[in-house]
Amino acid sequence: MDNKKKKKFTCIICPKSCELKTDGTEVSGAKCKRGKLFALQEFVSPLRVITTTIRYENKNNFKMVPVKTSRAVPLNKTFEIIRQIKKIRLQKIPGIGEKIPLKNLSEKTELIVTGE
Amino acid sequence: MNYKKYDLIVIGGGPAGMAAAAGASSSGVKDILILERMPGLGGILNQCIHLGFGLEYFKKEMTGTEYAARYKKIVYDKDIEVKTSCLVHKITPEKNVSFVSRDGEFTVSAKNIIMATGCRERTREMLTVPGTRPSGIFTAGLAQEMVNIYGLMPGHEVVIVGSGDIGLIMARRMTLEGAKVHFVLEILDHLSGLIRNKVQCLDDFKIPLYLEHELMEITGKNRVEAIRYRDNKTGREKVISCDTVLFSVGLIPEQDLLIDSGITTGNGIFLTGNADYVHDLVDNVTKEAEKLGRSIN
Repeated sequence: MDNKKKKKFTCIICPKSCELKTDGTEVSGAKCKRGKLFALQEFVSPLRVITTTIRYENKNNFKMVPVKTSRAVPLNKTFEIIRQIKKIRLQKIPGIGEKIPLKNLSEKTELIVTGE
Repeated sequence: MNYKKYDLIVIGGGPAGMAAAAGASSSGVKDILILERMPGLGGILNQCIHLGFGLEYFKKEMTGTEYAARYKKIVYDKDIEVKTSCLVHKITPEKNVSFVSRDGEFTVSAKNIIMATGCRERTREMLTVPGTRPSGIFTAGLAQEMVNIYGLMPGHEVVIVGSGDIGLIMARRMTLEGAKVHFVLEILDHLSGLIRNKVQCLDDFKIPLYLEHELMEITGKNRVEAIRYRDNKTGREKVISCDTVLFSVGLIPEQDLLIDSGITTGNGIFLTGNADYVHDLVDNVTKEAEKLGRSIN
């Protein structure tokens, strides 16, 4: 492994929190395959699933609807995506697992409702 | 008095209570009642919209809300009676359980009682922090409930005291909701919460964690205006203005119902989940409570 290009990461895949090292091709410190893939991705561009809520409100009902992005999205796009999510107006309270489209994004992602 | 008698009454319908009831049901216990004070099952999972749940138990990473929904289904598929919006206020050594609901006060009786009442957050008062008593001071879990369930922002210029997991999660949550989280103070020389939560909640958003730093004073007349804090390595003190202080300084098993009723565990009365001791992961709560449930007869 080329020491000069090496980067260190703490794995966030599971609570074991493995200390990973990678030069972009090889990974050390990972106790599982997902950890290795995490390190390689983190080396290039960190990806995260965003979780937040959408406000649903009318005369009779109020609910904060919990959602997550359907895939991990670039960390540096987090606030851009949050701004798009804040623009969403729901016509009804969606059920768990329902999908909500996300517009004006270069990322091909949608939102998935995570609560009942 | 003859009260309706159950084989098992579970007090609390969070992850521990649901798992204890499900475990008992699957091992053949017949009359099971869950008493839950909120309008639905799920407990604190319902305010946990973030990921990090289920990897151990369901072999799938889910949000707390997804975990709750999935486990609720398990409970409703079994022959378990669930009463929600019911607050238990008394248990007797004879295992009579009294609760209030919108319909009035009731007493039921049980062969076995499992206490799955979760835990409570330590508060500013328990730390005896000097200063004034303005608004703007919350426990991290209360702030989480306000933001995620009620859509209310506790404040905009935030300092988090204590590096427990809920504090870390709320540092990110408040940031995503547009607040400025200045830093997290931790009096110890190490993080209290999980490292993965520091990485994805603080580091990702460049929120500093100050270890060996102590909160000295909260100031402000009606609203929090500033805090004074000390670097315990150098002894140097600083002041930062803020309008909100969130405390994430530990959890205490909620056992007041037993204590107030003057009874202890044993003789068919059990504690499980965070009411027994505080767990890092809900998956472990589920496993332990299911196991306890299966051992009931």
